[in-house]
Amino acid sequence: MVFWRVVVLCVLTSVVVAGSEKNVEIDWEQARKDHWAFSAPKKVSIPQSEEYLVNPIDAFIKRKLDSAGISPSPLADKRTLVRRIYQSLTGLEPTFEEVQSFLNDQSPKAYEKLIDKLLQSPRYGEKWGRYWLDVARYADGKGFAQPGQSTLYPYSWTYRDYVIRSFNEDRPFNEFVKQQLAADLMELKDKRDLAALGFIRIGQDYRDMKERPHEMVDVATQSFLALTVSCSRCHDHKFDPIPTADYYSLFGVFKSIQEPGMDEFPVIYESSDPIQKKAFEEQFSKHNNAMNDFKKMAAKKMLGLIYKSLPDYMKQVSYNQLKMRPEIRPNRGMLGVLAQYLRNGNTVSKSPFLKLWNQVIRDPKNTEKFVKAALANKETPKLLHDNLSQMKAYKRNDVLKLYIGLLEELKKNKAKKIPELMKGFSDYFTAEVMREKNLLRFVNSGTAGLKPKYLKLAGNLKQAWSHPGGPAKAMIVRESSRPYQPYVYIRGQRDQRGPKVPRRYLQILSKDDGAFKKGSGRLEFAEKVASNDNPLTARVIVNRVWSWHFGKGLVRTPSNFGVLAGNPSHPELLDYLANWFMDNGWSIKKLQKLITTSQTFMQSSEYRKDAASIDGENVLVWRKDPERKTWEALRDSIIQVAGSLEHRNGGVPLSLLTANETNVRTIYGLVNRRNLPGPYKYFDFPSTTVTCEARSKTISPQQGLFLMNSEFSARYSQKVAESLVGNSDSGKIDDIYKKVLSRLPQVDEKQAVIKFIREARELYKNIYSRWEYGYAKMEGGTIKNFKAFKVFTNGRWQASEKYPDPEAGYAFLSAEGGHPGKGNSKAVVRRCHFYADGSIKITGKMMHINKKDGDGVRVLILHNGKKIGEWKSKGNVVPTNSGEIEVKAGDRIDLVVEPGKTPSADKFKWPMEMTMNMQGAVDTWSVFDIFSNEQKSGITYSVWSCLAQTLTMSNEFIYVD
Amino acid sequence: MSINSNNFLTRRQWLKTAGTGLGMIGMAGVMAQDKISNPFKSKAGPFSPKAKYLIHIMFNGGLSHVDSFDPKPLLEKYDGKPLPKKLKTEFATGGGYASRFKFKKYGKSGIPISNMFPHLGQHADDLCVIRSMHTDIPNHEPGLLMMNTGDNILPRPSMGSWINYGLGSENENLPGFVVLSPGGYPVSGAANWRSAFLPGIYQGTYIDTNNTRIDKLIENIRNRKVTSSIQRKQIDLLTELNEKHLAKHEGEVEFDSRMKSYELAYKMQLEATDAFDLSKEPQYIRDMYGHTPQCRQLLMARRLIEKGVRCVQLFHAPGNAWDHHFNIDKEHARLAGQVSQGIGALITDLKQRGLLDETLILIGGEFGRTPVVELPRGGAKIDKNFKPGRDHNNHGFSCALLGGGVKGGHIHGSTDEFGFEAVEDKVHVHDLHATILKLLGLDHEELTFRFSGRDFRLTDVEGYVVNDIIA
Repeated sequence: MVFWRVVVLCVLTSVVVAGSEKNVEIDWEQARKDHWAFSAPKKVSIPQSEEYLVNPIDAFIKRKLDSAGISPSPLADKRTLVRRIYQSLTGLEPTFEEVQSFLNDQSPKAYEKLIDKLLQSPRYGEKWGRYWLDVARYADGKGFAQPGQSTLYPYSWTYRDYVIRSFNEDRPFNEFVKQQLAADLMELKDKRDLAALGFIRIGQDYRDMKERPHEMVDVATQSFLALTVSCSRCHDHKFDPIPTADYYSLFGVFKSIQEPGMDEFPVIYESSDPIQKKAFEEQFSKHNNAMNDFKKMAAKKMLGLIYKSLPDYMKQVSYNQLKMRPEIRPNRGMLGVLAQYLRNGNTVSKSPFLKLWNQVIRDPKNTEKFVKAALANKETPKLLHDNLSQMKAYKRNDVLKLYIGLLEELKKNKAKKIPELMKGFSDYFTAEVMREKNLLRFVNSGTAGLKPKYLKLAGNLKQAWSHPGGPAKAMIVRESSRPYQPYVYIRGQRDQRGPKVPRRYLQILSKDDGAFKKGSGRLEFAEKVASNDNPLTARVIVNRVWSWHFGKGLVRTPSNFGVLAGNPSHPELLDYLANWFMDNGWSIKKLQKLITTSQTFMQSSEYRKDAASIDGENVLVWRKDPERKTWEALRDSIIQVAGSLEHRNGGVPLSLLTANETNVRTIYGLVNRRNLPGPYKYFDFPSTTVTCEARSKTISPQQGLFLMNSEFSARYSQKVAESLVGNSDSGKIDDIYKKVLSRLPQVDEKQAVIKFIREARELYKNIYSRWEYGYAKMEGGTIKNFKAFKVFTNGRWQASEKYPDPEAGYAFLSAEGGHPGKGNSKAVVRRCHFYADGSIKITGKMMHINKKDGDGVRVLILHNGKKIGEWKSKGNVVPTNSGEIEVKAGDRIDLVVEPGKTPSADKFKWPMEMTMNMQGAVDTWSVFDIFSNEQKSGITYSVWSCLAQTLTMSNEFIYVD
Repeated sequence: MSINSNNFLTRRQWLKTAGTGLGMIGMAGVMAQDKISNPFKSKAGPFSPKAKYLIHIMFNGGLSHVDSFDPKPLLEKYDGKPLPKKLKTEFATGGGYASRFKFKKYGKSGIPISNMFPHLGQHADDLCVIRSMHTDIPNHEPGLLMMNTGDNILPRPSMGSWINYGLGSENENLPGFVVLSPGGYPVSGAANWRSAFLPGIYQGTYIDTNNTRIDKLIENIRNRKVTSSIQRKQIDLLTELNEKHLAKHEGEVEFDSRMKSYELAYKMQLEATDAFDLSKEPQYIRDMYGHTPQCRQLLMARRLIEKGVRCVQLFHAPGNAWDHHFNIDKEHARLAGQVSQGIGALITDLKQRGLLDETLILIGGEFGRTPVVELPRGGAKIDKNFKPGRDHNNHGFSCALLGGGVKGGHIHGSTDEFGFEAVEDKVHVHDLHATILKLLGLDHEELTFRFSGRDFRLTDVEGYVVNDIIA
């Protein structure tokens, strides 16, 4: 076909053309001069004003504002400030008491003291560590997994905890950089720091594993150097002085990395909780033993398969020489192990049977010598000996054919002898199977139907590993013994080989040729990145910290300091801070103290038209921009104000937003790269596929719906309501404000709230009076003599304080079920009155519990006394669906449960939902929501829950001034 | 204590202030409260509008024009041979690759459409095909951003946001701009429908249409704790408290937008339940559209338009669905098969309902594909297993417009003889934007928003209305 030929021709042509493309020579000196970011931060002096300002930051900011004719904003009031600093440093709300204590602290150092206190709080690292995790594109999941493998990383969380700890301990940033790139090559005082390597490991896993080093180059250069080195993968960088050769120089460093599997991760610390630890060990050894048994069994089974077709396997192994076609197609995974074994002189030499095979393959010229030696060797199995002794000429292929012939003979006549001859291989193979990686290959190829069992055991084992009492392991990387020699991929294409390049540092940042000398050069790379001589690293992190405090950086693109970034808004301030930061031991906390004690940071957040008309984006920082809480801060503070937040000291990630919400901070939640829960997405959590320099800020109805309607929001609003103190409405309102907004309501606010409480109560009343709970006598399927239960206790309605009641017996109703009564009071009834026209539908499941005793229950749904449905249940589950029922105002529906002949052993559960379509409005609700809430507050999912929820939805709560 | 609020404190003042507490500084006076204007209020643009609604069917990843709307018989001659013309593409490309799809002329106008879209032929005389589209960069991210926001890189508002800003909404109970995509975001994600500096309320609302049940389609659409009447009171209280808060933060656009977003969320609970509920459609209508997620979301788009949603944008699938560098014959056919019936049905349906006159439909990708074959990557060899595909092409591509005041049965512009580059009556994406705005009654030069001391437009400083395609 003409087409293909010509295309091939085109490939060649394009290689020729591409190969002849001369890189434009870069004048490095000039390039360094042309863009500020490529030369060291300048030593700048603090601008002098009429009087020295307390904080150098202010002097720089003020000078720029002056020249733009904008005045800075006045300082924020103390109340604003205390919340701002709590949120900015810990991501949590100050309590009412904490606010008060700050307001009452008149000492000149009050604010500074507070900053010190918050910087020491373990909550600090949980907030600031998360910022770094954004940069590090952190996730607990791979994003993609081979079949049969988990999509989750087993120990990503040790990296997360390392990051939190690094911030809390104020690890010098240069050390932080180095450890993340090369902890395995450094001397560590604390082996927990090995977890730093997670930075390299926790990236997206690709279908094409060859992408991994590319991903590493990208994240390492963007995170620390804010250079988009990846852009040079296919062509020289369009804007920055980064030639493709430089890309492949770094690529060579990262391609020399090996990523060992989970079974090779070192334990970095054990659980500190002895009970949990023991529980883990028990659970683990159980599952591990089961897995080991399985592996042995699998090995045996697979060996059986190999031996059954051994001649075919041997033919395939030596197919290149013998051209003997195997009759069956050997399993590739198993064949690989066999070939490996036969090639490896060290292992196979221990096998008297196969040693010769190995020798003639490795050194065919000396075949004769080897055969003779085998003949002389007493250990050589007789069968082999007999055959060899008949050989006349000594050629390699003859020896190989002899083996195959011999094995075929054996297979026919004495198959049992094969394992004995192959013993060395059996041991080797079994050991190989015990290694996770190989086993996976075999079970994936479906060998002997092992997969389902394996998946189950692997699942159990994974579960066991994630036990909170399990040891923490570091997801390490390793240097390969022979570093990779990089060459340029022309146009980024692997098969189009360009010139070789040395592994070296970016030329634009190197004074010498930058070539790496030790190993792959990864440690040298790390050292250069973390060096005081690096013009970028300090500036980049200073700018990030600034942007995390102010919402935007002095350089607006924190992960790109290249030419496209343009000039910083305050170049001198950036340089001053970068130098200051390095002079102060690369301490993030010191830098933050400098920033947060600046008046620039303490400015009011008030919007000012005068200033905005000149500088709408607040580039010059004429105010402190209000900050919207991140998803984490929002979730954390909602749990916090409900008094439910539980602190933990790191550990395995937990699934959040589940039915039984875990009350830990969001940073400890599972980040599954493949599937993040909805709120993560609509509250702008980063995508985790690439480094995130700043989160987007969207406003969508989904955010509103989450806060209005989610189980999550309801649960914690209710918790606030349950915790209220104060008997009067006024007292409760004060309390709810104190809890949620850490302040008392203002007069007009209180008026609005009181009005709401009053009106909502009226509405609640209507709903409440809809339902009655009672017992009745049944005659011919109709209710006689309905009596309402009088007492509500322990979550149940019952006839009187006495239980069993003399008249009603064991009759009771709870939210989820109940028990019928006796005699003339035997039926229990939920009765609903309607006050409007519409249609309803009841769906539910009757579950009579006792299979053995009694004679079950009868269920009736009646509409104005008329039967709509009837069901029976005894120890089973029966759906009780009413279908659509048209109701008019004044109608009633009865949900009746009566016993059979005997009311004994008739406890039941009857969860159900009623969908109501009343005057065009559709409400689906579980009757049990109302029932169970009534019991707690005396009234309802109360107006107080509603109020608490309203406050957590308010702008005041969601934004930090 | 009074402090010169125009200056930062000096050291002396600082110590003094800190000692006495910062309490009284900076408390904002309570401003006279303006009633905040309703961002949804329906408005008219300066021109008399031809269309009121926009449905944008996006073949994200890049639809091959030479396989769909722009037949190039000359490619047969050059099949497997180097073209005399070679333009820069993203990856390495080889010889010409003639379309394996079959073209046929349809309708009185005789517009050629390939068998990739068998359901479009019946509507050929309503179709206006622009064959001379071009854009700036042959990469997905910038390409999509250009098509959707008019800028390759910078955070700019999307076209849907601009249109809502310009025209308001016809239904205050639903978002004015809804983005449908089954299974996840396209490349660049929410940046494709962001409002950037425009008020947040104009941002597109993303819906994952892989779900069919309303409470999965829009999470938390139902409240299970209180009745809507109580929730109404709750939202009223929230708005009142937020207004009091806003009075102290006059000018804070974001606060205002968020406040309004609750109102929208509240109203959506009722309206969306209906709008997104396809089970309300008779079976024959659902069958007419077809049952793939792509077809279902077309039906959803019609329901939304009917309810007054201003812009509906439909992405085919997550990522770069139509990005077929390889195996394009099979893959393009497969994807077209998922959506063709639905598009045909949508047009028929809108016609029947008299809505086609008011609704502008835009069909196309962020760029086109090369008439030449893309060479294999990553060391793969060209052998019998190689399945040809096409690289990105920003130099020339096609899009189709329908309804809403465009000339039916019309072909505008052309590419060169191979389909590599737009040559005649070229239409840049900016021009397309200008034209769409005009059809909706808006003047792209007048529709501005002042931000950071500058007036911004969807078309920036570019864009010419293509009057030739307006009926």
